[in-house]
Amino acid sequence: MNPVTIAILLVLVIGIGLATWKAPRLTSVILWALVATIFSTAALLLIVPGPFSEKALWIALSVPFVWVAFQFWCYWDANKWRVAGGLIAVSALCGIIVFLSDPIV
Amino acid sequence: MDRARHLRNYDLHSWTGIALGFFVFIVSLSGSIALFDAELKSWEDPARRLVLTDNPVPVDPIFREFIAEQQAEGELNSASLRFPNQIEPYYSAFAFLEDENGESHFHQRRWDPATGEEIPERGAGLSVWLLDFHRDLMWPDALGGRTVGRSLVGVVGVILMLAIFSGVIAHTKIFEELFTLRYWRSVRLKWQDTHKVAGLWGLPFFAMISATGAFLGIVAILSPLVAVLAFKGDTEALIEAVIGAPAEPAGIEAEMMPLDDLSSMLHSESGLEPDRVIINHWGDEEATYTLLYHADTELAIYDSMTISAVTGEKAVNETFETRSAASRVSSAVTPLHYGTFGGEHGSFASIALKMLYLVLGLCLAIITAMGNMMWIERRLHGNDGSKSEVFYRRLSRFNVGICSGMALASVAIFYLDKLYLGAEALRMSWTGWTYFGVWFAAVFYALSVTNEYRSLIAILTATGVGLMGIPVLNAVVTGDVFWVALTSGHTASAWIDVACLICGGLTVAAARSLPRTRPEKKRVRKRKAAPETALAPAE
Repeated sequence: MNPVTIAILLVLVIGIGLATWKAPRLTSVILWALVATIFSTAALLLIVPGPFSEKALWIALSVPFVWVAFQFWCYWDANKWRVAGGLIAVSALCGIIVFLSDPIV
Repeated sequence: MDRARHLRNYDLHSWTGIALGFFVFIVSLSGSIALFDAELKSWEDPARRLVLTDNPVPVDPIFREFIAEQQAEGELNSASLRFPNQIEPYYSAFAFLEDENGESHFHQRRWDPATGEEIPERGAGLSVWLLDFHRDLMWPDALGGRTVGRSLVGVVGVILMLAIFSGVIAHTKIFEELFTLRYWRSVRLKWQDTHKVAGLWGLPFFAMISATGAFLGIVAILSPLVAVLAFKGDTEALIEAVIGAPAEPAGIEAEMMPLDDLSSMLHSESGLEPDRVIINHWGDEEATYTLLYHADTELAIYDSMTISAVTGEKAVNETFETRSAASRVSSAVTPLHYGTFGGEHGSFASIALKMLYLVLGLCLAIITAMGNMMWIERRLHGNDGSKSEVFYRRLSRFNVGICSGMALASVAIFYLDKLYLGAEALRMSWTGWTYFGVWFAAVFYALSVTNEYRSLIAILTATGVGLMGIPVLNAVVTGDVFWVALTSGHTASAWIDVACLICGGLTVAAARSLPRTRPEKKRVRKRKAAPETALAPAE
């Protein structure tokens, strides 16, 4: 990876970290809910048994609802750190599943 | 629900509304117009205003000639032919090619079914702009292209879902609010009641349109992401895994069945004639005709039947009963979103359904604009927010400019369409310049007038008068008067004139009913000096 890319990624990580620290609920509703949605649906696609096309369609149909549910949780929960922490944990856990699973192809 | 949670939820509802309400307004207003895409095509191009003939000329020789021309230009991937219907009473042929450099091309041609003569192509403009602005915001290629625009529209759907959900939870007296419309009280109270009543009565529609819109938009971002994660970047493998591998050609030349024979192949259950046919592997032994019928047996865009294009033998076709539940649900998304399940094109039921969608779509746009206005007025006259009055007044003017300006811009491109004299290839870019030019001018005007009630009245009146002038413009330029056209057989463009006349009258009436001056402040409060996050939700 070239130094420019590393610098950009570093700035991005620091920026997101700072935003999460300063405004955990706002950063969660804008960013972490989306990240958690992407990783959780990709992980579901890999671990749920059954015919691929069937589960892919169901998961695709459920994406907007999962995303809205995560966003809504950001404001439902009284503890702003539990929201941010929970979404980051979901993303991390699902990310591990996605990267450790064998590719479908 | 405890008070703190209720406040957080209310905060979420108003934040999603004010921060992204403009996007929701833009998508819902453009969507209301985009519903009439087929009718608008007939309105914009007088050459397409034909009467559906009972004795069409054979299309097969004309279509073969078209295909031969295309094959000379590159490799034909697929082609399709649409048979004449009430709204589009002409043959339309489409071809998808790949040239020697591997670039994809799309060509189309239309023929008059009474004479077989080619209908001259007109540059894309009004109808394409109105439809694509709703679907992908006409997002420029320099900023990532249409996929980015489509994804943003999908995100708007998600935000709308969130606003609806939090709105329903925020309103604890739903049944009471369903029947509360204090029309003769103050303007602000009237807006508040209208926002709640229209929002609650239209709730099932708004929930459906936001969920289906979110799905249609999000699929554009979801597919590549899923491909990257689960298929290690192979999008084609993902598509193949979902919809199956396409059939390969045999490489043996064969004579194709005449296309004219297809129009007599009625659907086994609905008895309808085919609406269009999709052709794969033209001229090959394995070529297929997929006949698409207006869906009358299930909630889908089409009922389909695939046959061999050589022998006419029916291939194995999935039926509603044999298809999986997920496939049935995903097929229902598009007809639900675009309101195409009301019956055959041009039938009374299909027009009535589209009119209902139009009314509800406009309601959604009005609810969003009103929500923004309420949010601002509460901060100007109530105890919420602590930005300066100047800030909220500017925001109010901006809201007026964006919302009413977009309606005026949409009307302006109807005039451009009929008065444009330049090259057809530049029609689309002129449409875009006019659209954004008028929109920006309206925003600039709204920001420059201190009384936003007056600027709103002026822009709405201009929009209403402009709408009522559209039938006159059409009659002067094309010679088609709508009351004559309504009885002559081809009615699609005439209905556009009638709709413009009605919408124009209602817009002028709405403008006249608005107060000309801002109501006096009832409460004067001391504003906090400390900075705050007025546009951000509470942490």
